[in-house]
Amino acid sequence: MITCKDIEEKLTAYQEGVLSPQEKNLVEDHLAACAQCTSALAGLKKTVDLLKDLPEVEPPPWFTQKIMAQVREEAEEKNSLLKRLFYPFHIKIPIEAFATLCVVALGLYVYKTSSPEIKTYQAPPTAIIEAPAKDVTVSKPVEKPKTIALPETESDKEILSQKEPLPQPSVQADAQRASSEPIMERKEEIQAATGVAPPAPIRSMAKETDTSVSVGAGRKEEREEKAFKSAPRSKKADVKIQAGAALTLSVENIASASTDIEKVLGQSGITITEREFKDGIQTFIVHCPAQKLQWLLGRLRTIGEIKDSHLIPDDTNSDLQITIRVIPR
Amino acid sequence: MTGMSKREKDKKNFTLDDDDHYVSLCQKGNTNAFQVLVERHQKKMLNIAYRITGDYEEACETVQEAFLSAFKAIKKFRGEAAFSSWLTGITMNHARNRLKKIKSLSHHEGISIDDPVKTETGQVMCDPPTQEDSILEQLEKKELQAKVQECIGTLDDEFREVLVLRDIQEFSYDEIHDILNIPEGTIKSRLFRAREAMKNCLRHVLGVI
Repeated sequence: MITCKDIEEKLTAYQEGVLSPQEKNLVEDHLAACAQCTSALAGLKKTVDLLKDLPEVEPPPWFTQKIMAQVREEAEEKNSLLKRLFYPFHIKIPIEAFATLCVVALGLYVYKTSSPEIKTYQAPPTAIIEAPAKDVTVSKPVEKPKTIALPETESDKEILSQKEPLPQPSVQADAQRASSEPIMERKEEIQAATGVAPPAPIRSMAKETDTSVSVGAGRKEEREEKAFKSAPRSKKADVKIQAGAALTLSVENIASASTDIEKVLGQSGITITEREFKDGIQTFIVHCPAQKLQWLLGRLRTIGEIKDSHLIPDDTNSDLQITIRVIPR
Repeated sequence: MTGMSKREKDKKNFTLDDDDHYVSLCQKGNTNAFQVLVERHQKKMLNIAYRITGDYEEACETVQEAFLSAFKAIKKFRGEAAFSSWLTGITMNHARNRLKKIKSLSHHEGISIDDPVKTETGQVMCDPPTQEDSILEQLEKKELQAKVQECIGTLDDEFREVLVLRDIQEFSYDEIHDILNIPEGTIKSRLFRAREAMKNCLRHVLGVI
C-alpha cells in the first residue's frame, strides 16, 4: 500500500523527471486522487520557482579592474621571480661563452709565442756531463763576462768552429736562448769580437808560479792561496784558457765529498763556474790556474780516488777549464 | 520565469571552445586573455558566491580570491572539465571557507539586531501571515527574495551548494558532478532533501506555500 509519505518522497524526483515510467505512473495516479500530495507538489514547484526567480546581483563596476589588478600583481611577482632565477641565463650564457673563447684564444696565443722556450725547457740537459767544457767557455762570456774569458787562441777558435752538439750547462742558460740558431749566430759574433774586444778580466798567476815551488810543503798551500789572491788580474795578454780537461773522482759519500771539494776550491780561490748533480753524479766545472793544478789534484786525492785524469797542461801559462765528476765508489 | 533561462543566455553569449582558446592563451602567460575570462564569468561566480554566503561584500571578496586562485593554477587546468565548471569549483571552495569564517566570527561577535531571527533549531522565525491579504500582497517582492535567501542560509552546506548550483544556476547533474566531484546519486539525494528543507522553511517563513 502506497502512502502519501512514499509519494512525497518521490515528488522531487517526479518534478525533476528522473523517475522510471512505472514510478511516474504510480505517482500520477496517486496525485490524481490525493489533494494533500498535490498540494505538496505545488509547494515544491513554488519553492523551485522562488529559487529561480531570485534576481541576479550585478558585480560592482570596479570588479574586473580590481580582479585584474590582483592578477597582474601576481603575474609580475611570478615574472620577477622567474627573471631572477632564469633570466640571467639568457645574458650570462653568451657572455660566459664569449669569455671562454677569449681565454682559449689568449691561451693559444701565449702558447704559440712562448712555445720555443717551452720546448727548450723540456729538453733534458744531459749534455753537461758528456759534452766537453769547451762550449761552456763560449756561452759563458755572454752571460758572465767578468768571470770567464773569451777564447782567443787558435785552438779555441777551432773548438768554436766544430759542429758538435751544443752543451746545455743549465736550464737558466737554455731559457735565455730562443733556439739553437741564435746560439750559432752568437758564436759567430763572439768569434768576430774576440779579435777586437778584449776579454773580460780573469785571474792570472803567471808570475807567481815560481815562488810557490821553493816553499816547504807545510806552508806551500797558504802561500799559493795568498799568491793566487794577490795576483795581478790585468795581464790580459798572458791569460790563456785550455778547455777540455776532465777527471773523475770516486768517493764514498758524494754529498760530503762535494762539500769538501767546494770548501777546498773556495779556500784556494779556484772559481766554480758550473755545478750540477744528476743521476747520482756531482759535476763541477772549475776555472783553475795552471800553477794550482797540482795542488788541486793533491787535495782531491785526500777526498777521493782520481779514476782517470786528462789533465796534461801543455802550456803552464794557460788556465784550465776542468770538469770534475764526482761518482760513488 | 519568462523567456530564456540564465543558463541558456550564458551559452548564447559564448561557447566553451572560446573559453578554451583564452585559457590556452592564459597558460602562455597572457594576462589580457584572463581578463576576458574574468569579464565572462565574474557575474555568474559572484551570484554563486552571493547565494552561498548570503552577503554581497563577502561574495565580492570570495570571487576575487577565486579568480586569483584560478589564475595561479591555470597552468594545471587540463581541460578535462569545462573551464566554467573548474572555475565554479574554485569559487565554491572559497565561498565555503569564507562562510566558515563568517559563521565563526558571528558566533564570537554575538547576534546583531539586524540579523534574521532564528529559532533554536536554526530555522528562520516566521512572520505570522494574515488571512486577509495574499502572500504577494503581504510581502513585497524584495522581502520575499530576502526570505528565500534566508532560507537558503539555513540549509547545511552540502544541501545549499547543490540547491544553488541546480535550482538557481541551473547546472546539469554532470556539471555539478564536475564541480563538486560527487556522484550523481548523491547530487540527486542532496537536491531532493534541500528542496524539501527549503519548502518547509518557506512555509514557516511565508506561512503558506
